[in-house]
Amino acid sequence: MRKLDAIILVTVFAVSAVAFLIVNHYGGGGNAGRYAEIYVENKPAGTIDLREDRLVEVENADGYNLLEVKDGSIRMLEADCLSQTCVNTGAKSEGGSMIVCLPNRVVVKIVGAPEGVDIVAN
Amino acid sequence: MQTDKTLIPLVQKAQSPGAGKLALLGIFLALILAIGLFERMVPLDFAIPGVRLGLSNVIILLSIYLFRFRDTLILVTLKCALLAALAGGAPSFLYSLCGSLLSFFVMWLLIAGLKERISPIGASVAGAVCHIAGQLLVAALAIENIRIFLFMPLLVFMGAASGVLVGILVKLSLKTLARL
Repeated sequence: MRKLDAIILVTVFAVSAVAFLIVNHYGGGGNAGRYAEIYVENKPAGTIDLREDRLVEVENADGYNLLEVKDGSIRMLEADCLSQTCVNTGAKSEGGSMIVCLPNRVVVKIVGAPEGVDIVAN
Repeated sequence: MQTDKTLIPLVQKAQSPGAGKLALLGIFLALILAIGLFERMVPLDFAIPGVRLGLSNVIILLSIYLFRFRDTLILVTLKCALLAALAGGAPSFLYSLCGSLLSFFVMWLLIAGLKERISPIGASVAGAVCHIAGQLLVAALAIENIRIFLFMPLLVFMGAASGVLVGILVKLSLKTLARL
């Protein structure tokens, strides 16, 4: 292992770790998401209120996706794509997080409540 | 390509003209496909989408050391095309092609330019980062949303770890092969 390798390794691990902490603190945390915006082929296709448990079918020319809203979070229950990455993403409920099915071009984005608060003072 | 002196006889043997070199490249491609298909059976996808072990990069990196630019270029392209045909699908071909090509170019440049000042480990980690960056770039363009890069830090962290493993394997392989 040469000096340059050590530099590359330390830089990559350090920067990614720091970036991860920043992303999680600023983008992921904060408001619990209240709505999920669905985009099909990059066009808005609807907004779901996460407070009601329901099943949402998304069907387009590229394929079929099934979303399940339960207990304030949403997940991809079924998809007919080959990679199933979206299904393996699991449940999301934080503002800013996403579930993406690239082959079927479906993007689900969690959006926080507009009147959301960070701290409630009693 | 030729980096340090111990590898010169190995490179010469690998690139010996005629059927020998072609057979070796064919074996490399078969190995890549076998490793790639096997990897797809082991899903690490629970936390982050699209996580893979990246072990087929051992062969790619070996090929960078042993063969010429154009040989490895063909190897990389065939890898993406065949893996997509066997176990992916049309969209996955595009994503993996961009990631693999970017990763290959960067690794090749680093090794060709720095020769002995960089070891397979550093090159492999750099390649892993570029692979991920390339795939995320295409994904961001496809869904017209740059926020997919939010997945990047964790992917890079895990990809870099895999890169270290790949680099170590390549280093060991080169040492062993050089003694043949």
